[in-house]
Amino acid sequence: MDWNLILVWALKSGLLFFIIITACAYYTLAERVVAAFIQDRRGPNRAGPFGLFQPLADGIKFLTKEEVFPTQVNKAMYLIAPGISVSCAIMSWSIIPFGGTIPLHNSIAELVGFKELNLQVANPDTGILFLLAISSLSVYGIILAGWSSNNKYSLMGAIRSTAQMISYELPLGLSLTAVILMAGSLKLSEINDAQKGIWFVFTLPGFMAFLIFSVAMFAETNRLPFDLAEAESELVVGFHTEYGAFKFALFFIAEYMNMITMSCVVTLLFFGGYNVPFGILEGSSYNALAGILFFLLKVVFFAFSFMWVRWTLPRFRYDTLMNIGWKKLIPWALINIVVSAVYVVYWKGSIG
Amino acid sequence: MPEELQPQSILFFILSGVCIGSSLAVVLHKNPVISAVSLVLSFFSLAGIYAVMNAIFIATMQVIVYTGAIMVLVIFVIMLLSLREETNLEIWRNPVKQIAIVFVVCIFGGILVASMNFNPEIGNGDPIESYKFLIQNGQNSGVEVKGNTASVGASTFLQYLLPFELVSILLTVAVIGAVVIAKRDKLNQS
Repeated sequence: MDWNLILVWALKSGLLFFIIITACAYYTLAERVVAAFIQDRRGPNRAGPFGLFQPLADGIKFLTKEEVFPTQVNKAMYLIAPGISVSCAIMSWSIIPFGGTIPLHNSIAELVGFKELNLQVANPDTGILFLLAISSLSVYGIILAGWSSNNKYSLMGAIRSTAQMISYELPLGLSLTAVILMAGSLKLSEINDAQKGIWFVFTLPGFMAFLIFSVAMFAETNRLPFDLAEAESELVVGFHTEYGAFKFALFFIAEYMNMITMSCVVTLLFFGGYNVPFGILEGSSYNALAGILFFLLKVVFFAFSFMWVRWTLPRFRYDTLMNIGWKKLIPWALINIVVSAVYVVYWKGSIG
Repeated sequence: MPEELQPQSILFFILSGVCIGSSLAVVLHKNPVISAVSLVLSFFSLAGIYAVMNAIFIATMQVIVYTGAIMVLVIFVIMLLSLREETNLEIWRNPVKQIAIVFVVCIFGGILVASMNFNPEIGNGDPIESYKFLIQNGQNSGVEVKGNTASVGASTFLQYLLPFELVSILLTVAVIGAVVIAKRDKLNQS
């Protein structure tokens, strides 16, 4: 391990962090604009041209608000909880590949000591499992926020949310098994490479896995129609009822980051990731750059579908949510594992 | 430290410090929820130590199984029972317990000193070298191994298949047992 490699990692991480924060800020704006469009309103259009400075204004507002501590909160946990949420959201970005490897120019290559720039901060051997591990950690942010607030609504929201996230992690993980079986690897870059011929969503087990994954994805990110953790008509706003100012902003950022992460993951797992369609630029030096473009297009589409679903569907009741998770999605996902195993053994040879 | 200070060893000392500190907090803190959260932190830093040793699969599994599944349920139950703060001073007043604590500390101190003097033959102490040694010498199955996950999979499903199946039967028995115990009242009523 060389120190210059560590330096490049640090630079990549810093740049990635900057990109995510900006993406999140504009995602919130996009959410409000899309909501306005769907509800036939105008939406934010005062700050700057087309309201483009609105996220900046929101950020300044959150930063300059008074920090309020409700009485009898457990102060340490109350402050740590939003930090856990947001750091888990950032950490899960570290393994997302945004594109292939970009070949560096000779002069730069001599300076940094390697010839290709990998657009992934880390590529651990366990890839997608690492992502599951991080998403299972993000439960702690919610559960501690609810517990430390010393408020009945917060605690109820936290308990609901924890039960929901634990339940939906199972179908999420089981639907991933089909993809892992077809790709033969846990690494996200290799799952992407396995889809060079045909996207996994166009295969039978891949399509079933996509349906299960997309339902579980909404539940994991606590978005409508599964945002029972917030449920403002019953629980005020659930686990972050007592949070204000920047601490609330951290929960808010974490939610939007998780949505972008999930959009990236669904693109990588089922929709061909950063492969250029039909391999038209194969071997060309622009292949990697075009790959990034196609990847971002697909991610933007899924990010849009998150907003589309939110402003279209009503909220589920709690018992129906649990029924869908345990009695529908898990059996389907288990059948799908068998189907994908059969597919890999009997059909894959003729297609791939 | 005799050898050059490497990033791995710096990370190891940071993570083991966090691990020891949070483990002490588990035992000593009065609030049960904070104890449980420190246990999570301790498991997490243990996973970090595995990752420093290049055993990334074990590290990921440590996080998924212990911090992601087991400890969430533990914290869930503690929260639902809403345990209040406890005092841990009484333990020092009982002479039998005092002797027991001194005894335990002596035993573990002895083990610690002995393990620091113990110098295994493999890979002269460097974690990565010893890991490579284990990979090279632990594989007699003849399977080509590409990475960490593959090597764990190969040794589980080829070398240790029978113990693996026995463990899975044991877990199935535990699940069925839990269901039977939970459903006993309903069975008696009907």
